Amino acid sequence: MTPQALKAFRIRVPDCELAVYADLGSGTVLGADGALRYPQEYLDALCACAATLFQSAPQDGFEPVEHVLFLGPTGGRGFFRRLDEPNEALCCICAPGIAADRLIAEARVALAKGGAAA
Amino acid sequence: MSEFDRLKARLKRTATDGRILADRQDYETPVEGVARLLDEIDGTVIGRRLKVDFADGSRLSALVTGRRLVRLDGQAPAGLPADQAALYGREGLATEDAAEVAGLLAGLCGRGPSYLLSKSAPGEAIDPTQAGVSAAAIAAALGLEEREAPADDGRNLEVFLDALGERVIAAALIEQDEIALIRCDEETPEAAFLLDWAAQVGERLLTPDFALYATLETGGLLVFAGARGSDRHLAVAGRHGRFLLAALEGPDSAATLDCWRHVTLADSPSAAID
Repeated sequence: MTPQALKAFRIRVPDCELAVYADLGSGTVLGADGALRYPQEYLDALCACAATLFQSAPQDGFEPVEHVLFLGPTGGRGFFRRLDEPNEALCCICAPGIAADRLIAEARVALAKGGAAA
Repeated sequence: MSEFDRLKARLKRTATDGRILADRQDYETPVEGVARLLDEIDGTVIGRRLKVDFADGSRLSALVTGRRLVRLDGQAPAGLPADQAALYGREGLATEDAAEVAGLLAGLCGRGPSYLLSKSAPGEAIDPTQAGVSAAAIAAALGLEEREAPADDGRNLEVFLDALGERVIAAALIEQDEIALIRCDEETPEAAFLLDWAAQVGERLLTPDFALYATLETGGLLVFAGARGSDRHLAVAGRHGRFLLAALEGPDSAATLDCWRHVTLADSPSAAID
């Protein structure tokens, strides 16, 4: 996903404060767009968190995990990937009141459009 | 202005400038002083700088995040043993430093009958993956009794499970190192699957090395889901150190998230704050 695609995604999901596109295999941040400018180590940590989560999905008896959502008292996270490109993920930091169904739908659209172009 | 309005105004001010007014703490014994500091550390999830001015003029400036003390800044006060002075400015504080940190805090609290405590925005980005030293590890090093669990003692997990209703295929509760299956028979494939996955989750996610662990443990929810049309999804919910693992029918991970939000907000005083 290009920086423009990440920006467009955030416009469609106003409660998303940071969107990062990352290569989980190499732990590389490929692009980011946020309401604030986040330091690189913060983006790297988010990327590492996504990798840990997708690796923690069940290996047997469950279909491949497409997304992982997290909700805590102070905010949410969303981690999404295309199953045909499982090493690349869209990682989001969101407000606690995020509408998860909209986040999921928009992430799927963004990955379908932008993932192929990345 | 009512008490509630004053509280709201203070919270809004705090959110705006990241500062909380300094608070003087009097204590009878150094251990009591440390216990109050540990309460502050244990209640600090978002990164904050904790400043403590002791009665003799010594000062402690600590970076705290995810309920862990991750760094001590500034100059070490005079008169500290070498191992405690070496803690200042050191990156990568971890659980094995708990005894030295506990000794340092007890020594500083022993310098007078009170201290002035203030919290402010950290002033820097904090790497959320830093291990740090938890309040519990420091308390254990000091031989403090295990702190009392908050009143609800994690019962929200059961409320959450009830709210999920018929969608629950199988569920298990993890407390300390014990796992107990609920809502399913031990002999079923669902139970075997959940127990297998629980071991994996325990190793990778239910550990302080996982960046979201502190929030998950306090009151967080993780949902794992497949693509559209999946026949089930998985949830890990945490509350006050207890964890619920559940396999749920259908693909609707958003509904599970909404359910958790509803259950935890209903129990939170902040739900009443606009």
